[in-house]
Amino acid sequence: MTARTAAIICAVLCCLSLGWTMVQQRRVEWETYQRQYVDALSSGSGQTKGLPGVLETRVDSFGVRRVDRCTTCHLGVSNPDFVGQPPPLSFHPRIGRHDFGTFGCTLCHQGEGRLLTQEGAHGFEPASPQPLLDLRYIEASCTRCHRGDEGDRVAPKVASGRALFMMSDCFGCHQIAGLADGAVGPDLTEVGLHRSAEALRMALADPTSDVVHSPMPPWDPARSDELDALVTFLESLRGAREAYVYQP
Amino acid sequence: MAKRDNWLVRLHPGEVPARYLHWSYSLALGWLAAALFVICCATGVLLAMHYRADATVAYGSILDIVSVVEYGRVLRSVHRFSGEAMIVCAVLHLAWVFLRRNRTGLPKWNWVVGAGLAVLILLTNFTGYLLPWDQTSYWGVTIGASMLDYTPWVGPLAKQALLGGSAVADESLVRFYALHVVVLPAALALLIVYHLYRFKRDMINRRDAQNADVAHPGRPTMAAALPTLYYWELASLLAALAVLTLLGSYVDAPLAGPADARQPPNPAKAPWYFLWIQELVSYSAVIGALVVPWLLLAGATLLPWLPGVGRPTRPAGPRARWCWNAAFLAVWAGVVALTIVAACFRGQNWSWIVPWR
Repeated sequence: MTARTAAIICAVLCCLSLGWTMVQQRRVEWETYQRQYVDALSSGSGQTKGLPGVLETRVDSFGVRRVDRCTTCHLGVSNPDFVGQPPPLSFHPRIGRHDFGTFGCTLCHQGEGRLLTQEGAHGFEPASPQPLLDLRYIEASCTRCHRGDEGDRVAPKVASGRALFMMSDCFGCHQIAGLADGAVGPDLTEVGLHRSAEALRMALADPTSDVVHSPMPPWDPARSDELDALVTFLESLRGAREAYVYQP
Repeated sequence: MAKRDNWLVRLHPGEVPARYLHWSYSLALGWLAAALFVICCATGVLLAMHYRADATVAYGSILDIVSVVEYGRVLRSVHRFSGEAMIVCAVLHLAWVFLRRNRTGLPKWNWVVGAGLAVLILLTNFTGYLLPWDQTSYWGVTIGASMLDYTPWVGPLAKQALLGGSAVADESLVRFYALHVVVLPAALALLIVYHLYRFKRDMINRRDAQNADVAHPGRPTMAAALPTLYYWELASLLAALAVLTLLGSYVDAPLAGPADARQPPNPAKAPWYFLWIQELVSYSAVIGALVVPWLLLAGATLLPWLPGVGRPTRPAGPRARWCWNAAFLAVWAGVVALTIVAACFRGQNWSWIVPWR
């Protein structure tokens, strides 16, 4: 084989590979949902407008800037016509004065707001310590801003989880800055930042699955409501690093 | 065809032994490494336009690159994989050059330059490893840099200078970024050009020596290097590009969760090209991080001067050649085996695991 033939063959292969990559990378997951939304919008008129493209909300009022691109797929969140639609196009009722333009999505729901695949954005693809928060534990997010008595009022699950933590003598081993100063088990002051809710639930139900020689008594998985409350409380523990005061 | 004269022509030798121009002589490994360097520079410039070297936003900018930057996902994968492939090609190039050396031995200075290039390629990869600022990169660089601690006096100083402190922190990210995008690529480019220039000088010297010794029986037939070398270079570049874009469009460069200085993963592993050192350290820190790596580096650099490698002394003959080849291959087999063990068979607390269970 001469050098010139090799160069020509490689050039052809390179063109094919680049072309294929360009075609293949054009296919994106969110276009499917946007097409569904646009079709649903124009079902009466029959005309299809262009797709909105990547949509994002920049949230600067709470710590480091968050960029939430969730509405790229979840297009129906503020469109009342989409009440009762299956996700991702379903309508999101407004919670009090929290409008989506100011608060974004991940402040409450967690997940990777910047990513545009379901797997990535919901926080499973890069092993995220803060994947999409199951709605059972969603009150853990309220206490980012609402603290003290007000926090207990808007997030009763966090309050009952804390009560369980104190009644069950967890404070004897665990440390939580300003609440408990046990020195045997792991420090839980920022546990909500490092561990996902699902990991915490598993660790509570079976401590030895998390730490091999853990002396912690397991929590009866049948007492599901108590587990929900405890996990909500633990997820709400973010230390001083992510305690926000809303500044409009 | 009229004789052209420009910098590209001047970078190439005029005449080389005819067999040099056959693909089987060099396997194009050196050209492939150079082609991968070109690909890394091109993709790196594009990535640098979106990346931010600030610990609070670096990870977010990587997420932006893989989600909203046009072809950002592929660019990142191609950049990452071509950087790592450069290590493989450079090392194989060195090994191949060593194993098929002729009776005149290795071109001494160019071998040293080649070893220097390999070290620079490793450093460039290592500094780039930190930039995503995810858990893997943060702890990988922590482990990698801590290996310097075992080298007395110089090691801790070098680590301090590299990290800008005693641990990996915001300052380290800025330093690694500057090294990765300016210092090391510039050094690599200059050294690559010098490597090619040395090759040309060696060819001229050899031709002059042969012309002075007309009666020499083993005189190879010479052939014009150009344009054949151009074709091989082009073929290497295009082949590398074809394979990497195809790979990059299907396989994503690894990305873990955001770096968290308070949550070390267990086990925390160094980048794969330093894993063999980490495996050795798990047996003995002094041997693994001090004696073996520096001895190997010194040995690899001074290889052309070792007795029996270069111009053979009469009684040594082919036996010395085979001894050196065997030793060389044994060392490489050892490094590869240690890397595989550390990558696949080490779990929590560096205990043995079976990966397929």
